[in-house]
Amino acid sequence: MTTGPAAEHGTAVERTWSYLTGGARTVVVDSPPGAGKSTLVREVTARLVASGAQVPIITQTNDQADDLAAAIAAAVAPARVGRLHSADYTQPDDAEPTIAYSARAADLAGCPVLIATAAKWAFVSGDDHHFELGVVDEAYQMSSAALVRVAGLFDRLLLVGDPGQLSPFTIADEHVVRSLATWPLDTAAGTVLRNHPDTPVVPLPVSWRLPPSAASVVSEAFYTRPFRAGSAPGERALRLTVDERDPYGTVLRAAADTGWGLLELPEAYLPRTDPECVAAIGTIVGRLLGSGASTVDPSGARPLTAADVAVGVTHRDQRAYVRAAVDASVAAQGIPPGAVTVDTANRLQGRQYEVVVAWHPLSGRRDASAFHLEAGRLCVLASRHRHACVVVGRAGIAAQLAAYPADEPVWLGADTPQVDGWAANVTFLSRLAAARVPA
Amino acid sequence: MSELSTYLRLRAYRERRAVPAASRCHAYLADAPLVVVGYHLAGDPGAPVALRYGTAPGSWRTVVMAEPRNRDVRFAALTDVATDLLAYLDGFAAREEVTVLDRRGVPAGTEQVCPRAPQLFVPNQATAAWLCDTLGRSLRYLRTDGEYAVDPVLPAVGAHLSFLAGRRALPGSAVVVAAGALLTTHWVTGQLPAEDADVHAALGWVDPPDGTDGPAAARAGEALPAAGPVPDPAWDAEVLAPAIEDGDPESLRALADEALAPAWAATWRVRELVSALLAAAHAEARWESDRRAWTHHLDRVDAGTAHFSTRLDALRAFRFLGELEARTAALDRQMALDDPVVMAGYVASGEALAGTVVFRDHERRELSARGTKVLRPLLRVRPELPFDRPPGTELWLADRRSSDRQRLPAASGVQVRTGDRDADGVVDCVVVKGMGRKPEHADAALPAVGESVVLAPFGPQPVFGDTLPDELPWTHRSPE
Amino acid sequence: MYPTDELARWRGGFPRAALTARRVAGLLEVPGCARREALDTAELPIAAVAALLGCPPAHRSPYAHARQRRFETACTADDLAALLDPVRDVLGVPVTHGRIREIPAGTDEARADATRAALADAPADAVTLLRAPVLPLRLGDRTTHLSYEVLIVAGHGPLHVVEPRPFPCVDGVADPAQVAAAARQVAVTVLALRGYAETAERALLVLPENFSLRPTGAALDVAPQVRRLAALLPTLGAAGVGDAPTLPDPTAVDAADRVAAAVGALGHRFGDGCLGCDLFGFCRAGEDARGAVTRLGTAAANTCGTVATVTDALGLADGSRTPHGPAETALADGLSRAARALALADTP
Repeated sequence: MTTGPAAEHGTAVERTWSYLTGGARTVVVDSPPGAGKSTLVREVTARLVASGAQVPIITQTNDQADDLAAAIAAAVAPARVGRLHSADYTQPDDAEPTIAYSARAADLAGCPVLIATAAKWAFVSGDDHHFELGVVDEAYQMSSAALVRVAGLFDRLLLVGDPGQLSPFTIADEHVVRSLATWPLDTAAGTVLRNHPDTPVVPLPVSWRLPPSAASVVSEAFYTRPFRAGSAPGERALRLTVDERDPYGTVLRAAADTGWGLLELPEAYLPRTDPECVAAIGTIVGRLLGSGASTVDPSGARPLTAADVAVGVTHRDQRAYVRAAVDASVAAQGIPPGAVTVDTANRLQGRQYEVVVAWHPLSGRRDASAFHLEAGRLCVLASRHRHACVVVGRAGIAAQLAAYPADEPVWLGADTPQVDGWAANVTFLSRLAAARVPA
Repeated sequence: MSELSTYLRLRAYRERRAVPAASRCHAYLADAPLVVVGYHLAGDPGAPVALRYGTAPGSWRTVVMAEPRNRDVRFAALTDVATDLLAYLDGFAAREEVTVLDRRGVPAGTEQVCPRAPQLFVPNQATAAWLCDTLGRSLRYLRTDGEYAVDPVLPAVGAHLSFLAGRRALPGSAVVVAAGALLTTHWVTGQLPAEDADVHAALGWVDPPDGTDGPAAARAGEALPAAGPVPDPAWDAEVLAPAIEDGDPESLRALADEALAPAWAATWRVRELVSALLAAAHAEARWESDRRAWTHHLDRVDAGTAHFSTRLDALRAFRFLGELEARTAALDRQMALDDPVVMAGYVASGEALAGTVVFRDHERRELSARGTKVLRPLLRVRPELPFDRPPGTELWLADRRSSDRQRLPAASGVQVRTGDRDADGVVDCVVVKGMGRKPEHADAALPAVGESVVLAPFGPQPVFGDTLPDELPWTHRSPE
Repeated sequence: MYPTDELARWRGGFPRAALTARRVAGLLEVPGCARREALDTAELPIAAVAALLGCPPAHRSPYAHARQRRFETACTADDLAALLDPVRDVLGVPVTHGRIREIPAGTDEARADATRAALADAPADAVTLLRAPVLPLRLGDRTTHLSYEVLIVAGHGPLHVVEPRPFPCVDGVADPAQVAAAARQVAVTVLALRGYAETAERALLVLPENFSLRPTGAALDVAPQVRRLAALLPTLGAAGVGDAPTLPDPTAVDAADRVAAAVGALGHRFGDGCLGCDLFGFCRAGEDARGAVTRLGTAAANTCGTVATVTDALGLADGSRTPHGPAETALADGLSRAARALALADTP
């Protein structure tokens, strides 16, 4: 099979490798959700190590660095992976024995792979350390301002990331920055593409995580480069037994059958900690985990556990309420508190679950705001799952979108965002219409 | 918007008067500010019409451009203004020797710093932007030789205004103060936030004349001549145009002076209102930073190196962003620590824990990761408002009061990690920093049973060296 | 062509005010406001209506007006000579000359036809200025006509809109709110032009450079505004006017009261964006009469959710009102926390 998803993915990896070995100074890999970004980084790193190179890797968070270190340690063993960290970092309990930890780059000089956050790399002196090729993970989460502080350490860069994720953010007043300065908060990948327009861009064409039902929706709503699912329709299944006489059962049935469920509570304006939404999410998670659910994929069937389920929210205070409701709802099944992940979109980036329950960012609001409309936020929530996603929200989101004024400031010379949050929200909502279940 | 700011707005609406959003004055108030109000031609910020300025409410000068579109007339009048402005700024050129402390507070030499710095006081941000950014930009490049030579005071003032423009962009700086911004920092009105941009309307809510109320005074304020820098269109048509037509500078001066009088009065009144508040503890430290920047600017002027770029590009943009972010965070933190009303917003949102210490074990020890016993005192705090942040939340002691509500000095750097809550909501707080090494140190540093405390998410101000490189790396430059 | 029967009935004795791109663009600032929608789709003279409602719109400063005229002259003098370089450099359209065409007076339809013909003739290597053109635009289920004093396009296949504006561009920076307003208006023109010819979403904004009147060009990508507008325009109609009292003859003795009744009967959205609307004073007074939380802005209204009045919200805060339902309970909790936190801070 030369045109199957695995072959397409393999071709993309080989293209990346040939650009690197062909001497391209910069290569950008655009990876939609679950498209094998980490696998690609691991594969490229292993090949580079095999060729005798020392490979520095730049991540954005300590969690990402730890995850990547564990994955790469297994791939390059017995070669050592150096995990460079700050002074107040605590290493994970289940650290691989082949990972060496230190706060000083000099201690790790003998490791063929060196992994650290961008913030830590910024404190590595270019006088003492220099690398031929650096690998940037999550290059669309990294800001240009973070890249400027590390780029001098490297002669060439491979930048890998998901262009649909949340963009870099600043607490500074955007108006002040933009009136006085060239906007310094472009993404690292965007910076490289702007200054080095010859940079080859390799899109990873296949999402291994998202099922076909989700890949088409997410690709259409949030991405300019289309991608598809690696699994065929019907290859995966979510099996569950629910009482369909109420909306919770109905929406879970819809999600199991179609990959999407939209539980629509009656229209109301509510504070963002909307107690009915909190309760509904708690109930859905409780029903789901109490439904004897199992997931089926070509590797076989296995029961759905609490660790396979996540709830995505927009605000931290929502997270506190939902956590309490979910924990209470699943306690009767003997599931300990905290077993189901509940987190904000921000912190769910890069994560993967079997089933995700997403609290729609616009639910219950009187008016949409730019923050709540950000395409990356909804995209993260809608693209964490392997089987199904249940979106929970108040009716009236379409009306909010229709009433959203087009009054964003326009700065001369600034690039128009490739994906417009308003349009992405409209597309996403219209694609979910068939899965709508009124509560 | 936080619940507290909504609550304040609701209250202001019902009480028909603005309510305080702060109990301290967070802007440094210099004793000799230069108040400036003015107008420029509608649609043409490069063409000033009139400026009224002075350092006391009852003493001012009004300068008009009798034909604002005529370059010679404009520059002649602006030369007058610039001469006065330079005289004001020259009053802040003196320096004195101060001891420089290193990061541990140990004396490490001396430097020359201006003990006083100028402060421009204007009615609103739009006027600040016009005077500093726009006029500064239009004057600083003027030539003092050749066919279009101008008086050297004009580019000199342009450089000073450009310095103020760059400085005023930084949160917490007080070299340029806008009265309207002071009002919205310290009070909340009962109208649309967008309506607060009119300083006359906002001042009406904050300070309604006797016998009237906020909404009525705001309506009256809206009817006053515009606070600038753009005049009312009707004034342009009915007053300015005929006066320019007449060509009599004296009558235009009188008319402009009259139109600018309400903005002048409002600006001074706002200063008076905020000066009645206690000064915020950190305002002086922020002003010191302003004074150092002013000194540095004067050094550059003296050395002939006071150059200003039109846009911050490349590395300067990144440095500027880093500075903005640091100052934004620092200002938020300092305002909360200085002002219990600002801190109330964090208590209401649940980010800070306010309550009473009901139990204390200042001798408690824990086994550390290295197997040694370390001092980890325990405080149990009964919250005034339910506290529901997850265990493990890190908070710092921000406020201490005795049982009879007298404010006590809070030791800096006391850090706790929250633990479990009991059925009554009492929160365990393990002290992890700032308690000293011995129980007797902890006894002195930690609040006693019965004291009220506020534990807030504001640790010590982080001090990071900037890691920006000396030149832009290759990723940020196009290949040659 | 006149509005639908229902709108024609509702407009009463008011004359029709020709629609402009600016007015249609205004709908993008307040989508969902039935008052503005009805006044605009009924093609009413909004200034005259507002004046009868007690809020006469401010006139434009004669200086702002004069400066705009001078800038327009600087742009169009010598057969648009000043526009050729920006069009070539910024848009990359290889124009060699400028042309000016008058659209003769006539009915909307006749002018629209003449405009269509003039646009069809626009050469690929020229900047074309049309004086007094008319473009058809679909609003809801009917076609209206937009009138222009001038319309400038560059090239052909696709056409690019060239939009001169009098606000300054200093060192490459222009007021982003004014640029956004220009982008909305250009988006209306782009959509309207698409009825006649392929038109690009990339337009040229022409501004006075620094403190001079020298035209300088900047690219303006109006794709987001075009998308919004394309979604909004088909939804516009006579919704809401059905039950509203009819507008009077503006010269009637009781015109003010009847206008207030006719406009006041329509739903509206009040919020931060309303300050620039001609009806602002009228709607604000209505909000005050109801003691509505929307009077305090979008953010406060969002926090208050279903609780519509300030009195009810504060009742929840101080406990004098018993919350009904989860929404009010949550709001009561949030506001009473705020009240208690403030009380704690108030002690000296």
